[in-house]
Amino acid sequence: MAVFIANSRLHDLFSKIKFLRVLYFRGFLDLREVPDSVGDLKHLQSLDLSQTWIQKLPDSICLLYNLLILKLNYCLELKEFPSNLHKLTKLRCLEFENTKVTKMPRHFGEFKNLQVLSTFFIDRNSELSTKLLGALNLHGWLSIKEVQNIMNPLEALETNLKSKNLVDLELKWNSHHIPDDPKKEKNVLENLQPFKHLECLTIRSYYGTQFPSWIFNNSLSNLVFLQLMNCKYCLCLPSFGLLSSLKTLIIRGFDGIVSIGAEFYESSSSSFVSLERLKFENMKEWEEWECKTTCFPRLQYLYVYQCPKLKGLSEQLLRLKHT
Amino acid sequence: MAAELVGGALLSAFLQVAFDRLTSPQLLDFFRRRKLDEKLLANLNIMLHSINALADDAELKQFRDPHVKAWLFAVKEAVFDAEDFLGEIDYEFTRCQVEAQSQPQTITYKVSNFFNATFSSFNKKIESGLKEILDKLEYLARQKGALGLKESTYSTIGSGSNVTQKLPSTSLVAESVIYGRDSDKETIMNWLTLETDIQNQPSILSIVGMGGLGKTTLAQHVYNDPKMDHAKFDTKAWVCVSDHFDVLTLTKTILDAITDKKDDSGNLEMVHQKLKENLSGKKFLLVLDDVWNQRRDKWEAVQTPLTYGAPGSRILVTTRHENVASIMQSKVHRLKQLREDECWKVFEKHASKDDNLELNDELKEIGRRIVEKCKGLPLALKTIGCLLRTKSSISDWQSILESNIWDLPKEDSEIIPALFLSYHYLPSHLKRCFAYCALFSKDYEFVKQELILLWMGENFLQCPQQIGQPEEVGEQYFNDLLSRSFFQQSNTERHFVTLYESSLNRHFVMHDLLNDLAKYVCGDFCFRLNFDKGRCMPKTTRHFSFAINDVKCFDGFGSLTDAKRLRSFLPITHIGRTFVGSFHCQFKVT
Repeated sequence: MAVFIANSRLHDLFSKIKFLRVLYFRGFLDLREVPDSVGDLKHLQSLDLSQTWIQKLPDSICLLYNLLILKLNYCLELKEFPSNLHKLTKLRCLEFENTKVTKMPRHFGEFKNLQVLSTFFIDRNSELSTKLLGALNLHGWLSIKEVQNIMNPLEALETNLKSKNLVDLELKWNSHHIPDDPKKEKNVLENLQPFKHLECLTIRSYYGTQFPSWIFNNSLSNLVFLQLMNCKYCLCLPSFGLLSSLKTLIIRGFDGIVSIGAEFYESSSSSFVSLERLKFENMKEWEEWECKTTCFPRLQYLYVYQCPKLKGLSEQLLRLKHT
Repeated sequence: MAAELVGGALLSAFLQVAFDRLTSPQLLDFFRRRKLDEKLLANLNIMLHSINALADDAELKQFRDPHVKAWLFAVKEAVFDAEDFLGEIDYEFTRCQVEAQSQPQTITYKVSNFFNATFSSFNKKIESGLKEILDKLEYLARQKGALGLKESTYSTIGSGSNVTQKLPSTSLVAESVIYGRDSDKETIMNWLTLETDIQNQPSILSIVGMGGLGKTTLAQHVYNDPKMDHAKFDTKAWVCVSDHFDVLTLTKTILDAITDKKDDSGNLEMVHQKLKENLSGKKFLLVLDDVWNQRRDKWEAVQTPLTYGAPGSRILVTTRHENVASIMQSKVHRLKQLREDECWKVFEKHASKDDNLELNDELKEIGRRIVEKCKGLPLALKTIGCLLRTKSSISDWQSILESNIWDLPKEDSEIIPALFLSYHYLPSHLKRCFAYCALFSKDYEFVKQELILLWMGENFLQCPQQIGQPEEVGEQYFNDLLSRSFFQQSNTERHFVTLYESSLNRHFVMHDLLNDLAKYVCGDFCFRLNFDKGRCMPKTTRHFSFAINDVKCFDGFGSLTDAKRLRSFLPITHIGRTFVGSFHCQFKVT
């Protein structure tokens, strides 16, 4: 699938074709550098450099004043943005998921037209950081990283997540963070309650012992996909059985769970009414699973992996488990 | 044809961009401050309006009159040039603005500097550029008499406001029901489940019929039928073959589909071996959708590993050509045109505004005559039905019945008149959005948000009449095209079961014949590598796409840099097989 392109060719292309509006190099695996002459493409409105090996963007990119869309997803070597990126004031879509970038571009508040943003890093000045995020009217998908930097749960409220029309949200704490107070951790997550039409939610390295109720009380009634990873201090799974649209549930790395029982279903008559795929992975201490197959009326795939202490699955569930 | 019925010319959508720019207060201000000749702007505006008045007539006549076609081509060139030119002024304007904002302390210096240093040369460039464009347009406008072009009595400007005319729900495109195919389906189900094999070779059946008859839809209904469980296949795979029949690629695709993962082996022998191992002793069902290959040796090379399946294995093929079926030595099931009563059912289902609401007698009568013209093709019936759903008056229906598009010259193209008619009645902004999809290869599965971003990048979503953000406008345009059946939701089973199921990841496809139509209406400016004839790209190309799998090394594609006015450079990746750059994760049942 790799496409190779010589840098001189690229320069040639940019210097001869000045009227490009849409320029995609997605998947050009040998593209390591973008020539400065990209800055001559005055008409450029959409640039996609995803899945390339670029390490940085040329400064001249900040002259592309008409740019509306900039995509840099899976640029695994990309480390930083040029310092004048904020001059691209018309930008409506900025995506850089899965890169080495760890900070937002300088003067991030100048991007007043942003509608889609893939990634937001909360920095140590969390008060300002959360306000910046709160001011944006975002759509589609968003991953919020370094959530542990939120010092005060009230700052979490400033993000205004509840009124952002997002379909897909990831909340990611740094896996090396040391939770000073589990209550604070929970209060932060409590205040990060997303928009009610959210469809996909991923939470990583949340170190509270309990989950806030918005996550399971079906206030997210459109949620079809829920993924919880590395929440190692959680002692007891919430009643995800109440989520009426949920089709896929992935639970991974819950080191604190020893047993899963009735609390998971809440009501045995109608739980997990839409669930089709269920996956448990890397649950070191998990021993017991109390379950009736009536709890999963539509389950098609069950996946249990790296759960060394788990004792026997019930007959019917075993039939669903694909090995 | 009643003019007010027409959706508006494709050209009008492009002109709209120019009109918006020409009348923007910023541009006027820019001209005044730089003491540029404002009259040039006014003249350009008038000239473009008079061209626009001819656009509708020309777009209809181009199919019969090659001179009109050439004229229209030249007009589009001139309009594109004008748009590029205005874009450049716009850039200059934005640049000054941004730089003034980011360095407020030096604003006076900056601006005066700009004035002094580049004032005269920049002015000259703008004025001479504008004059050149004006001359070209003036010359073209003078041709109208010689070409016999008529001015429309109405103005298409502002047709963008048609967007508010919302269409009823889109649930119809899901195609949960197929009409008139019960016995076809039964025959195929019987072949799948009942027949016993005499020989060890998997039995092959080809559904043969012309484009638009619903071969793929029928195969999908069979493939997804719950009764299939009785046939007890160990493994099922759906492979879309299309017009590239490369033995290695196809064998790999079959292997990927069967194993649910991506294989990276580069040589045929290894892939053959792997496929053989994966199929050995297994009873499989393989669907090869849309096969065009007529070379026996190629088919035999693909077939070899498939002979290792268990008895009872089946290969179901869909194709337009009986020759294809015969070189595969397959049984043939000829799909016929729908019967009259079935035609009516399909038409009525799509044309009625509400499922419960019956068409009145007068509409029914006209409807029956329109249905006759669709010649039993479900695709034609569906599309024309969707068009008529948006029209409720008898005179609208009547004029669609009487349209001379029904008798478009055949030799020119294989475009189905009903499809062209539906296109013709699209508002101009939708025409443009649809035509742009000519860049997609056939069977390309696209994601809604991706297409909307492409439209945005091309400036298709910026009309001042539109209230709302471009993203919302794009969403509306997309849904309009969907509910008119220009797009359909993809329901082929994905190779990988994707966990990520949000609406952001829903896939859509265009029927082959609609792809042909898009290509037909904007062929002059779109170039698809390895699809359009010749490796040489015309200088006039504005949009260029290529399948990333087809190209291993970017060598500039030879003539690419000759297309100096190129606007889009678009490699197409088949999503679903590679990631799309979101939180995708593939569900592998291990």
